[in-house]
Amino acid sequence: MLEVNWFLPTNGDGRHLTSSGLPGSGRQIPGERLPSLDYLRQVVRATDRAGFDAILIPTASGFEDPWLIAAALAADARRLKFLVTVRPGLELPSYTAYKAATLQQLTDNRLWIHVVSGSSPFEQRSLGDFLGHDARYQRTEEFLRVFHGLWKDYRQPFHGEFYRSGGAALPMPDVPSPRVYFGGASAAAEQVAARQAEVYMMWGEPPDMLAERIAHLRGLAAAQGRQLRFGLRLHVFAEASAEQAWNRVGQLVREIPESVIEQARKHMDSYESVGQSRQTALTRGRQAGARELEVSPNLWAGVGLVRGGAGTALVGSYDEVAERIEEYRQLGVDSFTLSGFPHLEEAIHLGRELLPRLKSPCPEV
Amino acid sequence: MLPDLTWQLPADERQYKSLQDWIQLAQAAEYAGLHAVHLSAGLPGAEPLVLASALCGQTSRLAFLTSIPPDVIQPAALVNAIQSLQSISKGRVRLHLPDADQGVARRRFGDWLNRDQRLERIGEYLNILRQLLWQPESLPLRFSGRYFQLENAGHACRPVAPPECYLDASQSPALVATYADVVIVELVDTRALAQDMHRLRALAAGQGRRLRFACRIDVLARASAALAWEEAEARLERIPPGRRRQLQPVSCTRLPCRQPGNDVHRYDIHPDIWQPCTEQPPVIVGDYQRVAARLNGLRELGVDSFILGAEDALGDILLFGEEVLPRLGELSVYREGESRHA
Repeated sequence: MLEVNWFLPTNGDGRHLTSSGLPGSGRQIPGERLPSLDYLRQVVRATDRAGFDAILIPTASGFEDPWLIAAALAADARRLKFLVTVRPGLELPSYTAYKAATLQQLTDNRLWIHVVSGSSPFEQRSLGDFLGHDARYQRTEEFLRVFHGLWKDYRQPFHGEFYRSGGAALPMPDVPSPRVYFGGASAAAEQVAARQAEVYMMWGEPPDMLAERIAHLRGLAAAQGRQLRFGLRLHVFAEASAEQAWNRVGQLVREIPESVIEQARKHMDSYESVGQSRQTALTRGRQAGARELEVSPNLWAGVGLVRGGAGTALVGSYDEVAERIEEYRQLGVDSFTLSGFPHLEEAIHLGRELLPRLKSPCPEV
Repeated sequence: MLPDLTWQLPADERQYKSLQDWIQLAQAAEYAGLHAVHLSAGLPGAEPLVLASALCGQTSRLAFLTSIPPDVIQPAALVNAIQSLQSISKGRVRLHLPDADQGVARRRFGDWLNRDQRLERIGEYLNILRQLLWQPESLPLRFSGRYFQLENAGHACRPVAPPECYLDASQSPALVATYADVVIVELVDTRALAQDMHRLRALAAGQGRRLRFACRIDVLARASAALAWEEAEARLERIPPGRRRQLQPVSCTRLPCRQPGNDVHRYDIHPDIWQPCTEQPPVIVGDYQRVAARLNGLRELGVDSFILGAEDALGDILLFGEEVLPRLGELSVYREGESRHA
């Protein structure tokens, strides 16, 4: 089974690498799109119609709240799943479960959750969270235990290090618990993922680097008597010919002033994130350019020059991109969460050109 | 002028669960001319912010009074969610922070503080909300309290209109006077209610603030008083005796004496106002004119707005909008001593 998801740009969108995601560049580029409900609705509808499986809704300060966006747009998609990003630590797990049960009910069970244990210390503290990196993952584990426990028996009391409850939670309506996607590349994160995650999410890295991580995670999960699925988060610049695609990214990177790249690098270095430093490391010592940032065949690290989080893209012809995805699939990745700029037009474009190549029964490698 | 009218969406989880069910109620409320719906915390499968957001796109002017127990979410995270809902709803959010001592939310979501600590914490919480949401003056905010710490909070706050703040009258009077825009009051006794409102109003005036009062009350309005009371009687029979309000020995000082037995009027707390169990708000029972008159009477006492509810949400919303609401402007003052059955 191959799952292909799309991304909802809830802090803005546009035709440029700095248009969505963090850090905001502060550049005012004409034609940038605000994340108004009217715009996000179009992206959700296009994604649904294009045949993607789910849409990932991110979270950060200044982004629209992912739970509320999913709820507001629930009626605009027929079969699309909403993969809602959750940061444990900002609310009680029983309240998150309450929201999840509500959204399951409102969407006819189309909620999946994407658990991300935190952001930069700057952002965590601005929200009232002063826990250190590893302790945040311990808390995430407890959070997920409470969360799942409520679905099994909402009357069960819980006494943990971070959470206590007296066992008088709200009854859960008769809806299934959402599938749990989990992000985090540190050793602490891997341990928690092995015990609690269903799908372990990674940002795009060259296949040999990913193969190593997958083998390691499989071992950790097996030691718990569990199996994990693996997910990959990637941008895509695919065109009819490879040349067109590389010209496009070349243009995108040339238009960014050096000062914006420098400023973004400083910002990203402040993240306490192993995954982030792995992404940033891919660009180290390389010239900002198209082919200069091709870190393995068709894998381009240029997005990471200015965007935190997922910083790599598959660049090439439709067939090449489909082949690279198939390669990752052979390594054990069966969930791909893609995005392209702008997200509305690209959902339609890639839905038409790329999805049929991925979902066909026997792709050639 | 009409008072502000909010309808409390029902707690019947068997009847209302799908998005379509909720949309139908919200659209009925909007159609009936109500100003807002109240989404209270504690309906299984109906978290107020998520549900309000789902209803935004299906309604155009209906406001959403959302109750969020402050114990369950970090204040700066709540500010982000509220700002987002304000933006999604184009400014239709009202925020109620229920008194943790009053509800079951505390036990439900897990909280282990005593009353003094809770009071201290809600004080810090409201203080943070004021600085981030209601009167943001010098952002980003650094806050160092006993319960909450923040650094650079509000760095991503947006210039959206803040929601009005609703607090319960049971909350500490000092906090209510300082932070509430609207105070939610319940009717136990008209004289006590008038005194409470007077006291809080004076306290707020001392800080140069003006409070409004919203009375939480149910309605059972039918074409005739006889029909309404018949229904009240049938409702009483469905309430197990153990769950009914404990009655004082009948001394009949205030109310005219009635026959003993299972008389529905034994649960009157005031003429036309009936309360068979204390966990439920009192119900105004009567014909349309009478219910409107009682609501107007409460306005005369100083109530500015109503949070109404009824058993059959959809039918009662429409009856209220079509029959009671047009009569709310008609009567002037209802005075005690008027004949009971006009």
